[in-house]
Amino acid sequence: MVKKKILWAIGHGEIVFLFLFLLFYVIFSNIATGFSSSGILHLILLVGAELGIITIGMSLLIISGEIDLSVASVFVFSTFITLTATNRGVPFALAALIALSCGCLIGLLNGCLTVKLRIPSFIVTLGGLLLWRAIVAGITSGEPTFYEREPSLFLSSLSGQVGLVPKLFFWFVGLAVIFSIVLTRTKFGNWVFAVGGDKETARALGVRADRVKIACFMITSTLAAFAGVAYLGHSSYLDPVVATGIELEVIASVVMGGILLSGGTGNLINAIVCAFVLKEIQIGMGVYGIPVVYYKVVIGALLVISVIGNRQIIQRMTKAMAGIRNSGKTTEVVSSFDED
Amino acid sequence: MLAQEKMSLLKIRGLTKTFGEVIALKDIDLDVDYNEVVGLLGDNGAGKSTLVRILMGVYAPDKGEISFLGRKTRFRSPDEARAAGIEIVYQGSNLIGTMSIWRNFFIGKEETKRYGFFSLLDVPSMKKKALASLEEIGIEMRSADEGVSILSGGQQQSVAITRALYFDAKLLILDEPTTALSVRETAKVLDFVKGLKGRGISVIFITHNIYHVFDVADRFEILDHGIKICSLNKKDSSAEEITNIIRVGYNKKR
Repeated sequence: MVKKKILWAIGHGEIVFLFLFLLFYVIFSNIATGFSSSGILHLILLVGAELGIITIGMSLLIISGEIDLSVASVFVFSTFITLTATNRGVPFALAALIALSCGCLIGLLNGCLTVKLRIPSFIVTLGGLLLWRAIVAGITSGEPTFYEREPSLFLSSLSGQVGLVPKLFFWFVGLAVIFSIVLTRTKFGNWVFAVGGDKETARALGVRADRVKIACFMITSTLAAFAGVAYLGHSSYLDPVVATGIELEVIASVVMGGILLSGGTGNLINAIVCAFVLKEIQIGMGVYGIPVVYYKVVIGALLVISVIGNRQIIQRMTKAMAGIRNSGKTTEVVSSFDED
Repeated sequence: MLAQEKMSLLKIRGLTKTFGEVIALKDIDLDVDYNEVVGLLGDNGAGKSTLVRILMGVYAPDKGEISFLGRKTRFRSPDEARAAGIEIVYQGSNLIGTMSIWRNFFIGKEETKRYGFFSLLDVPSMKKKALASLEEIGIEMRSADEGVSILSGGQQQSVAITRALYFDAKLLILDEPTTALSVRETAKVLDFVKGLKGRGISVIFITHNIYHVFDVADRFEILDHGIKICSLNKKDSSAEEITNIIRVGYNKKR
């Protein structure tokens, strides 16, 4: 009975995490005054979308067997590029395009250093984490940069809301749908799973492992850059320390969503729903009056619990499958090898 | 008859490969005919795996010519070799443990359906075909979504071989396919290989254990330290003689 329930939960993670989201909503509504207001819900959807967009890329990358610690710094770098360009007269849409291209190139750099020079992605992107933000901090001397130009059509598609729902949320849903389909229903997606599961076997079967990984790096950085551009939709200035530590939340979302850090398996939707759960917890804690610092404690604890939980689930899953095989009336996995 | 004699399925001439100081292969000539099972033998380090990896496009040879299906070719990646009709089943992992059966079956050769601009995977079709192919070799699965990790070593090996055949391999390379298997599983795999000849598929069977391959092969090519030391027809030889040749090696033979 328990095995069956666990198997169902694994196969339907989205429902489990959605349930968690609703559960926490109810809890916080009751203990924290003001939590159930529309303004709070709007905020959760907004920052959740922002985190979720970055989580999409990171999920793909981790499934492919790599990791990117520099997403927060790329985020800030992208916001900075956009601001600098627009403040010099470049139309916002074009400035955004430039920022996205920078993100893409950074991803290409990460990918090439990792696969061609065989430097672990952890190290490469750790360098990125330090570098890109440092460039911004250096140029601005730590001072905030303000958005000085006229509003633009593209910018208005990123800012504001439709009813209760921030416009960024729609962008997020669109990207989530696209990349979910890419991961689960395209050749490329199959290669991502293959390369993360066993790179050498995938290669032997004709998959261009290097190209797949580089593509995943580029997707991750570009989406981080997009989040950086979209940041200007709800903030008119950039403080170089903004979004510090967001990579921790992204990775926590990915791991909580059941994606193994070892790669090769996972579900994108689970991870992004987890991103919303995390943001809900953060805001709930804030409204309740718990100091901001403790959110990081919660994330850290959830991260560790999730990693342990993922291991247990994998073990139970393989045992459960074997159990189904050996018991029951129908003969599953019967072969001429077993009978004789 | 004459046409077939002139055009072997596979012709290798003067193949040479070095890795730094080590001469892995030196001046190898080797033919594989249509509908033939060739046992490629030699002790560990003889160069057998290097030879087939060159065939599969994993390594580029330093010197030499390869002709496949009558055309001179150079495969620059496993992709190209598979596209030409050469498939390989390794001793170790041929399947990716974290993925399901249908995904494993179609890696690198995924089937797609067009939806306007996009091509998406034709999942129902792939699942059906994977299940059907497995049934043919006697493995019944409830669903192609099951992970391959629930199959035994012998079953996984069979899935890998079936996969190679599904994609119309004309030449199937088996690199020590039975070395890690139990006695029973080995017997099944060998039976399976015997049945392949009738289907117009040639096989290069690599092993360092002559007793596994003696029954199924038509010819034997023996390597030692990168050099081909011997080429024998089954009817001219015996398992004991071949074992002796392998053991004694190049210095004594010739």
